Amino acid sequence: MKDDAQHRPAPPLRVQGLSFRYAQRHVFADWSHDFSGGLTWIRGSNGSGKSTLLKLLAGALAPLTGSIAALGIDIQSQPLAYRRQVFWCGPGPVVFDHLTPTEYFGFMASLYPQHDAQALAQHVEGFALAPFVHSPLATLSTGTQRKVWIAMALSAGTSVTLLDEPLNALDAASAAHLRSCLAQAAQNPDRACLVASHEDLGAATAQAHLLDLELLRK
Amino acid sequence: MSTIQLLSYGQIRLAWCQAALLGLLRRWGIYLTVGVLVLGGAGSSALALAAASVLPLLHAAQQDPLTALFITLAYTLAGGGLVWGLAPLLWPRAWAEVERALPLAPGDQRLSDLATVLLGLTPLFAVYLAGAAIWWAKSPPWLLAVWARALGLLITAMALSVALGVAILWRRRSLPVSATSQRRASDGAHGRSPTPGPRLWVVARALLWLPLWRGRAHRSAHFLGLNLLTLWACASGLTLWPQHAAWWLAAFALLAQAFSTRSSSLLHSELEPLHAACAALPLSALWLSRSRQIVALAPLLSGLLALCLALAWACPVVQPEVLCAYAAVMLGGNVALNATAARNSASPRKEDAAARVTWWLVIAVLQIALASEVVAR
Repeated sequence: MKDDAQHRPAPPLRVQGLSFRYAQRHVFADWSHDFSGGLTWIRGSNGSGKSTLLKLLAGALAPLTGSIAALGIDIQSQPLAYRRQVFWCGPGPVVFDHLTPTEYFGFMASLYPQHDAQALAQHVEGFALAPFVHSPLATLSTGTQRKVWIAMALSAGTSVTLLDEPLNALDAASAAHLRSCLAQAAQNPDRACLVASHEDLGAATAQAHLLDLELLRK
Repeated sequence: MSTIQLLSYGQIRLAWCQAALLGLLRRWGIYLTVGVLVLGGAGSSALALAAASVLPLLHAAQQDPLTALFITLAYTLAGGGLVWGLAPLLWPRAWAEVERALPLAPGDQRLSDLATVLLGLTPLFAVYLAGAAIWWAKSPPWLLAVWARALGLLITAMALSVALGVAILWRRRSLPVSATSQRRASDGAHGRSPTPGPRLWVVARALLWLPLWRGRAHRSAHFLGLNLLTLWACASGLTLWPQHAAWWLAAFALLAQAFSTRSSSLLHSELEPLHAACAALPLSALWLSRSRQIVALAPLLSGLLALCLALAWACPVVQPEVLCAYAAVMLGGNVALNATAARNSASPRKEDAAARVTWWLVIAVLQIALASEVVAR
């Protein structure tokens, strides 16, 4: 049995004994979970810890205890290699808003060598970003900025993609494009796509693994 | 889509810093120009200032090693102070979470810190180098013998300033960014209801006090605290050394005016977006604007009270009518300056800034003149 466990391929994302708390509130206490390939839909009410979990998995927040590993690469011992395997798309607009989308993509491409330029071009088209690619992000709407970030997340080529409320502020056509991308991600066992969302994920819902953070509290 | 050009983290940080520093220069350029003009003719005074900027360091070259070290460290602190002041423009805290989630090597981060610190210190170093060049051209006899040591000290001070600047940015990065948001999140989770009380207090607490206390306007809060301490220090100085009362009163007036102007500007920039977001609420925009001005003037009012108490305690020969005029000019002048600054900050124009600087100087000169007459000789 032990040998079997050793030879079993590492899951795209493994969390062991994770603990995290804000000043006066525990969010996670000794929590472990293996995220398998495909799509995982993280649900829960406001304040249940969805965004916090994604930030912890991204390395944007440091856990109190516990380990996180992507494809067996530990976030503590190999922080750089870990981050090359994980792309986090936060819930707000892009912070590097002095860049144009083209410059932003160039910057991200320099950090994620496995990025897929062809996929990026498809997402630029799918999200109707072409007219905006040479305008500074600060001059674009929140929805357009979100689409730029999501387009990059979907084409970064990482084994783990973390999307925090990706459907927020998207127009109907862009939401439809994203839902079709999520449906494709649900069928890819080699990569894990974790989505925290209050919105329905469309066709992908049926194939998605569900993680309800409310259940952790019970 | 056209071919993507790869950009390094250093490049995108430099682009951001350059734009932010140019914006700062646009806002403060008129003050710098007027300051140089006030100190003398534009060309000659600028050269004199540049020469004076390195004089203590050049003098240190002929002093004992301990004094030289002390002065070099003072120059290092000056450079570090500049980086500390410019830190929000060199590395915005809003980038922290995203930066931590990106696969950036610590070496790349430090390199980008180094590049941005060098950019921030460029004006200071340009002044130092211009000053050194002026002294090189003049070559006074006392300097000829110690040129190599003087240049060594200058280069050391510049290198240490850069190192301190990088350390400041690194320290800033390692601060717990989410302290404020953590408090906010935990407050939300506990479902605290707003403190019951009069509506005015509830609004003032939500839109003035809590932003200052919890971080949205933390720079303003720190600056207001510094303002208060400085003015109280002036009042304490007057109590301890009443024979120099005129100097303390003049210093109080100048510091109060400088701090009040800056506080008003900071409060406006940090709270105005929050207050603008209240446009759809049943709140008076005028009330919000006035309340910002009152907060900006609070340290001045408190300091003025302390100053009056210090005068009553330490100076028995005060001329009450001059003291009233001094206080009236100070209060009226600062209220008017702050109101003008707030009115113009939405759409700054060069001529507005020039008029503001002129008024600023007129009020400052008037206060200094009155300060010298408050205590009868």
